[in-house]
Amino acid sequence: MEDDAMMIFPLAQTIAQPPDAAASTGLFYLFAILAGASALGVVLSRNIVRTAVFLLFTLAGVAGLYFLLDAEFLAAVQLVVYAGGTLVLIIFGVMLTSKSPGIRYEPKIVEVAVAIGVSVVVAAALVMAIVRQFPAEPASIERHPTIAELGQVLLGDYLIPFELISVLLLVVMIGAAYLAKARRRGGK
Amino acid sequence: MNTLPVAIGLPYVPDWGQLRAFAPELWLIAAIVAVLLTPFFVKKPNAACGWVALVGLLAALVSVFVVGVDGTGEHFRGLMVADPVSVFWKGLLLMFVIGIVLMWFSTTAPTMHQGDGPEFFTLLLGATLGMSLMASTSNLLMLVIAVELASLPSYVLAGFRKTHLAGAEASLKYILFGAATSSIMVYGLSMLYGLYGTLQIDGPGGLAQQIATSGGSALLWMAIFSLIVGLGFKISAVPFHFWCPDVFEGASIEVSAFLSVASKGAGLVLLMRVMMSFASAQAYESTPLLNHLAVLLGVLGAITATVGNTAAFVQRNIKRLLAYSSIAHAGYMLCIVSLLVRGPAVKADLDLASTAAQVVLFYLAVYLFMNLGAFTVAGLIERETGTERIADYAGMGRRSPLMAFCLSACLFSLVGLPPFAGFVAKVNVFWALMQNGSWWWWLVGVIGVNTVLSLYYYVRVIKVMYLDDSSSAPIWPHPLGAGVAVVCAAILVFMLIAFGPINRLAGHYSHFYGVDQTTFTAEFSSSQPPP
Repeated sequence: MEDDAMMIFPLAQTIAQPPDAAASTGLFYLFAILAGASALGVVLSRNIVRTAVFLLFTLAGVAGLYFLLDAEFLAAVQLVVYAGGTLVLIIFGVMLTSKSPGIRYEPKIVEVAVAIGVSVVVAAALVMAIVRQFPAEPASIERHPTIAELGQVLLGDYLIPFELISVLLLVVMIGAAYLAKARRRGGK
Repeated sequence: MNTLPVAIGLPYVPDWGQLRAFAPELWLIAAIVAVLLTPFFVKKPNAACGWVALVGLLAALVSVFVVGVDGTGEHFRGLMVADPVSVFWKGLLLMFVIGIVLMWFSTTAPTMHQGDGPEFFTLLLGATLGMSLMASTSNLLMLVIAVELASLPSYVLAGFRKTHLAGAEASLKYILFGAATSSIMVYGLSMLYGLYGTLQIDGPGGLAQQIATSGGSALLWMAIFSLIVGLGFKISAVPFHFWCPDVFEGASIEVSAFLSVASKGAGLVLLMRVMMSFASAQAYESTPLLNHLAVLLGVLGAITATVGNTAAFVQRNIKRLLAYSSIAHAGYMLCIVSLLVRGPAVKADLDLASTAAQVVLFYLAVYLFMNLGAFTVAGLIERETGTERIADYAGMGRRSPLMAFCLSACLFSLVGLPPFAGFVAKVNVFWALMQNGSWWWWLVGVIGVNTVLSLYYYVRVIKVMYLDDSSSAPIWPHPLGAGVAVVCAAILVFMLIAFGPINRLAGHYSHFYGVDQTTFTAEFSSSQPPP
């Protein structure tokens, strides 16, 4: 089965090779710092367009981490859907809704306090849980390309959710079309 | 099925034996497609789509009765379950949505812009599909899809009246709240998957069993909290209830009625299934995890009921009043979901899961007709007089005796007063909580006090209708809507008279698949309080 997959996806050949440990550690730090630092940038920057650009780098960094974890499908989706699609949507949204794209927003002290409180609680719970629950040694996972298997699973075990999502998308598309139509009619 | 298979298998084609149990859902999907195709064949699609939707819903309802609980168990490789609780809920839901479509014909149909009908019924049927799926899954992935399928069309339905400013605001609030809570829920569910490596809640090796053997942890609590946040939003439990009054006021009346029963009921059935899976895997023993969870749900229910009732006091708009009343009723039902730990006084053979399911299903059955009736009357009066203010109901006892009587019947039933089925529904709640004893007596006390409080604001409406005088002209409601209201009032009386059989029916259908059924004996059903 792996041979089949590699004939279909030549890229899988390179992924299947266990990477050099030092290089992958270096890359991990690179991507982690990229994701973490730009996440800080998202929070600290007050210009909304800059925030969006920082978000782009955060998402790209996370995608890099996925690549290192051999989740190449997830990484590709992360890049295509989030870094590509959603972010462009956000920037369009900002440009279309705010009066000037350089708008700055000033959070109130209370909002900052609440946000810090919630983040500290969530971070503490996560750190505590990770320290307590996960073993220090990473589990050894057999490396193999996942895309072909994902396709199998989507049309196998998870066929029903796959089909239901198509119904969901149909219904939601109708809803979105209705709302868009409403705006045009209101403009007349 | 939880690990990715390595060998290439054939694509999975479910056979008819698997699909048969989900015939209602298939009919709903067929109805969605039919509604979308209708405008190609008729000039004025609104009413035609209403009829197509009605036929689809009737077919789905008939298929519920035809298939019944045949083929109980896991379907589609464990992704969905067909069990008595889900069948009973589907029956209720489909009956209710048929009522909603009839209500639409008699209230909103004339004012709806011609050509908007296909969209409206697509969204309504889509949300119904999601809500019926919510009741029949114990798989985290399906759970998320079902909740989204129920939520996303509801957001658009809430803002369906384009020219209505309050409706647009309500819709926006609903979307923002919903997006936040469902992202929190999905985050929590991803933690559950990370912790236990399975998406399955029940069954061997499922989440419930693994939690029972491994006990609680900080991460598990975060995951459970976020699940309660997501479902609490659907149920409108108190910290997440802010959308409810605004949406009910801003949406057109049949949408408000739809959300008040269908959304809450689906959320409750789903929450109950998950919690009861956890509880039965630990045999209802008072482990720290279950104890805390029970207290959490009980407190949430008590607060929800109290906040709903006290906020209803100051409402001047009938839709806002009914919104807060629905929050209060959600609180009563949440209290029942807190029956996770066997109390000290309780008989050893009492199966808590099916007791809770029986009480909630019966309550939902009654609640459905109370709310459908009350909302229908409010919609009819709004259509004739254009007002939703309670003060404008003055003299309704003379202007439209039938409507005033039906509304009074529904409101008395909502309080829980004897001539109507709301009484036995509430007695059932008290009985179940008292059976368990211990601190559940506190919940009995809270619900009791809340019932007395609620008397005031429900009866105030009746007082305005009968005692306040008004020189306004009599009104003649749409006959179809009047028929729906009268049928609802009649059923409320009937359900009190036929309490025994209906309660036994609910008891018969009170079994969750995969949740341990130690007992369901004739003795249990005969230990009910007499009607």
